[in-house]
This record gives sequence, C-alpha cells and structure tokens, in this order.
Amino acid sequence: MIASDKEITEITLNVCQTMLGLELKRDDALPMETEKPWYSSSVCISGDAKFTIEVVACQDAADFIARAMFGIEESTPSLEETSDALGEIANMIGGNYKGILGGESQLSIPCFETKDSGLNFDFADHETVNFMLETGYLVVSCRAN
Amino acid sequence: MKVLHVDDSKAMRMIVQSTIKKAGFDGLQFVQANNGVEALEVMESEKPDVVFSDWNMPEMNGIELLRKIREDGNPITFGFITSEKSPETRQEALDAGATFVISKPFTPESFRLTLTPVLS
Repeated sequence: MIASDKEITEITLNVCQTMLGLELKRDDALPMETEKPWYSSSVCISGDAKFTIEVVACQDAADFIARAMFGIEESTPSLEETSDALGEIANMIGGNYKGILGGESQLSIPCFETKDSGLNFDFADHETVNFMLETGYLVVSCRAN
Repeated sequence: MKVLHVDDSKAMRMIVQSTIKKAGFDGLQFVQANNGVEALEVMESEKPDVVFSDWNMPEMNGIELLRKIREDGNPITFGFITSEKSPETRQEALDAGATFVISKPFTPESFRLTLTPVLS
C-alpha cells in the first residue's frame, strides 16, 4: 500500500527536524512556478514491496537543506553538495518507510536530477505531500511501481 | 582510537562525526571511505580499531563489506549507521557480525547510548 499522507508527513518532519533542525510546515497549495530549476532525488524500494519515494525541492529550498547539512553559512552550495544533501533526505525517508513496510526488500541508491519546473511533475497516482521551508517548497511523494 | 567511517555521502559523514562529538566522544581519529571497496583498502593501510558503515552504497554495500571482513577472519568491531530500520535488516546485520545498528535519523543521545560500551 502506498505510504499515507500521515506517514509521509511524520517521516519527513522527523527526518528534517531531528537531523537538520529544519522547521517544515505542511502546505497543501500546489508548488509555485519559479524561474530557477527544481531538484529531485528519488529512491526505489524493491522486493516484496515496490515503491518510489521522490523528494523534489525548488533551488532555494534545496540550497537551504544543503547549507544545513554541510554547515555552510556564506557561500552557495555546489550542485554536488545539493545532490548529496537531497539524496540523503530521500534515502532517510525511503529507509524509514521501508522499515514500516517490513518484509524482504531493498533500498536503492538515490537518483538525482534537475527539473525545469515545479509544476510539470506528474503527481497523479502518487501520494504527495507539500511542505514549506523558510526558503521555498519541498515536495515528497510515494508511488507504487 | 581510530575509526573508519564508510559512507558515500560526504554530508552524512560530516553529520555523523559532528553528532559523535556532540555525544561527548572526544579524541577519535576518523579515516574515511566512500564504499566497501575503498574501505577494504583503507583498512589495510590505516588499521582502524572500529568501523562505522552506511548500508546502501555503490560498488560494495555495507553488509557485503562486513561479510568480506569476517570471511577474511578480521574480528574488528563493526557497526551500521543507516536509514535501514526494519527488524529484518537489523537481524541480518547482527547475524553477519555487527555489534550495533544506529538508525537515521539519530540524535547525540542515541549515539551516546549505543557507542558508550563500544568506545569506552
């Protein structure tokens, strides 16, 4: 069964608050279009259960997460650092959801990609939860494969 | 004490090592590897006292690394710091010879409780 809204919310808030001290708020509005790119990191659960967990963030939110993770105060994180940080968020959310599922399954290594827009994602057939960070949107979704 | 920290994420290596310091474990010397294959090379050159490893990594993952180390007859203390938190994964780790499994997200307190008997 696809992760519920409640499961995604609880796991995401726990991961971001416990590990990074980030305060996220649920925001049920659709992510706003921005001129800057969006970043996505996804992990796949395979085996008894087959799901993809995807974490999508606008550039400002992704940079904010990378700054928190790397302890960067002044400079802009590199794309490599942003990829690493977003990948770890996806990895932790995926790993925690896999723990809820139980059974024999494996978690993939995070896959990172850059997207042009926060509005072009096909969220149909996903359970998707939008969060607002201090600097922009973070969207976490789960879909069955 | 020399600790080999194996994780393909530089960000997570920084967070883990920072959290270990916050947990009160001073004086540890960290050496690092990005995956299991690199870890085997670093173990040969650096002779660490303990290994902290992620589970999911490219090239050679954490459980494959632990099994290789044990196959080679090395009894070094080995623990996982991983987002994998199912009971099945924990049991697989312990069966393969892991001393502990710390799940992400973690806190300084969870490190203190788990690592005190390991590092003292």
